Amino acid sequence: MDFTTLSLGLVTIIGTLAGIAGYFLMRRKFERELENGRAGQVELAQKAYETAVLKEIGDRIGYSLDGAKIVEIVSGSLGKLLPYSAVSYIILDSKENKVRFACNVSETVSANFVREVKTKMLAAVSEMNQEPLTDTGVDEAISGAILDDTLTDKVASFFNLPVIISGKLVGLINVSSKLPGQYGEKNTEVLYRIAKQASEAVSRLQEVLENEKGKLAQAVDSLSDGLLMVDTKYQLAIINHKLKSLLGVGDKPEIFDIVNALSGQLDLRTKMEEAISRGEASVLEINFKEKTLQVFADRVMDRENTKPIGVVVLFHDITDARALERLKSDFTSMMVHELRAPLTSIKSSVEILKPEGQKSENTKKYLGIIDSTSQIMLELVNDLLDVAKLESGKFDIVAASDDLGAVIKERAESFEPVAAAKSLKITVDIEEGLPQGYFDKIRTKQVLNNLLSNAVKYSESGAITVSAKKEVVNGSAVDILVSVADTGIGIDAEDIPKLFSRFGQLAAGRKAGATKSSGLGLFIAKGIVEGQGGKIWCQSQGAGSGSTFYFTVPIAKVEKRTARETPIVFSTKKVAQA
Amino acid sequence: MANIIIVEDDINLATIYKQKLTEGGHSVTVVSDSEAVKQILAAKPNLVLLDILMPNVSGLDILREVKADPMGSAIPVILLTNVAEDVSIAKGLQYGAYGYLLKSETTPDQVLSRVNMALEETVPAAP
Repeated sequence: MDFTTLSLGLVTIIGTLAGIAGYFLMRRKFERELENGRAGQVELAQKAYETAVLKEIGDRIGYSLDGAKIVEIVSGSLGKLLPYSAVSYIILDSKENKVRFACNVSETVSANFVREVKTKMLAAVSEMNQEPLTDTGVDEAISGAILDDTLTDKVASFFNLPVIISGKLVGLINVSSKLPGQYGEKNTEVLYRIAKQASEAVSRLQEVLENEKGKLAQAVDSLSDGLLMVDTKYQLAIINHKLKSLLGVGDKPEIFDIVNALSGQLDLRTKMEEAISRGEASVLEINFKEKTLQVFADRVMDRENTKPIGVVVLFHDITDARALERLKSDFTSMMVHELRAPLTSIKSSVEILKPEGQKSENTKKYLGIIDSTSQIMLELVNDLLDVAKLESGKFDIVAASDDLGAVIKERAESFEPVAAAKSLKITVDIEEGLPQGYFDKIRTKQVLNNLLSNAVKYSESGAITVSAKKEVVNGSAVDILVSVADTGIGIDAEDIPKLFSRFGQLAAGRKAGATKSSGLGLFIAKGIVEGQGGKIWCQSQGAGSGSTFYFTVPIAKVEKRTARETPIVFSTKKVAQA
Repeated sequence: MANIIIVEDDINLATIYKQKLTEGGHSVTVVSDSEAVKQILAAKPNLVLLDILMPNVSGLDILREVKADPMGSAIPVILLTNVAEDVSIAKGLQYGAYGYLLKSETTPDQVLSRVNMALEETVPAAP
């Protein structure tokens, strides 16, 4: 891991600078004040000013980020503490491998003056670094008063303040004057002490940072998930051991190594770009070297939560979990098939016996019971298979353009006998010119069967109305809205959310003595409707006042007249456990 | 009045289908999966009801062998299965099966009518 900013350290420098400088200066002020009455008053004012300046330095540097900035700010404010003709600084920028020289002239001097300052500073840096530093390739910036080449002043006094952080020379600050003897010990002693104290404080802080880095690295490495983090320039900031071994990259990979290792399975670069710009965490599943991995990508914000500083990507191994799910779903499928065979034998045997069975009332009655109960079991088994398929994402919808109105009419007719038996009337209302819908005929019949059967089951009297009409949004027809309304026992508002879950059968319904059913019908209906791209919901005014179930079916975009379409198979996404 | 061979390992179902088809006036023989190909090619029935999922031999393999043989290629074969979406059904139809039935959704009466329909549509095997 690489922390390139030292903001904490620098806040400390400044805090220290300001505090210590302030203290020393106040003390000096006291001493002087005692020496000389009136002079002391002037001194007081002066020192108060100096303290204020130092405090300002502290405040400003609190927001700064690197050594270079520090040097700039300090030199800018240093000029207020000491008399000078020019205040300058040299910054050694190791990141960009540059040397920068800046000089602010407070009174007109010659260009030579400035050059002399620069030479003296470069010499000082060379000596400290034990490495020669020449004038060439040094960025130069001069500001302040105009230079006058007719002048011949030389640098009569100068003072260099090195800024050293963790044993490394970061920069050099200089004040120079035309006048001699400006920077005697008394003036400058305190500043040396400040510089020394500050750099020691920063070095200690760097140790603490290294420690914390170490602890963080350990925590990240002990994760059982693979983790990587990049900064805003997509440079690798963190990668843990687990991810390195998962991807099979070396010990110190570059971001390209990782992108390459994943290419074909995951476009890592795009995912990271999306995460940074969109600010939404994205999750997806990939198959990688016989493993199934869940990948989370999310951006990391700075402490004030104002801007992103990078992206973190987590890789979670779900191979075993998936295998277990497949095992469960295969087991369920197998059990379903095993159950169907004997049930079929039972039903078929009853069929064969029926002609003989008519002869005796007893036989007829009990054959009837065997028939209907084995039919119920078969339907339950069918429901179980549907639920297993929905939950494993293997529930296929084969949609095609078709006449939904005709399907509704046919289903409603088929329910007339049972409805009549309970003196219930079924009315069908299909809108004129209803457009073709895009749906799976068999599965949609299943949905209608379920809704109609519920309507009949839970009504003791009255009417059932089935209707279908266009839904218009923003001027264009988008869906067909189908509704099945009954005048039955109704549903309490608080029970409605549970209706479409796997355990939807409500106590009230069971009390109404309805034939036992699996309670899975609405759950499956929801899977079918949503798999076709629609929605299903229910409205009821509460117990005793009937209910209406609605679902939508998308409108077919292509006219039936044109070339025969290949029906599209939708596989529903895994349905969340309800 | 046709000769029909049923290849089905579930004894109960085999019994039921045999009963129904016999009542419908046909002559029915139930054979095991291991003997199926041999017996079908020897007897040359007018129609075969063939279960797909069986313990010893796969129904699809039996189908392919029968269809590959000149004696057997003309015999209509109706596949029996319990799973609607089984890829085996699609494969079976490709191998030349006449059609398929979902056992759990088809009553014995419906089996009989399906069989009769198939018999009407296909040319009976040469005696």
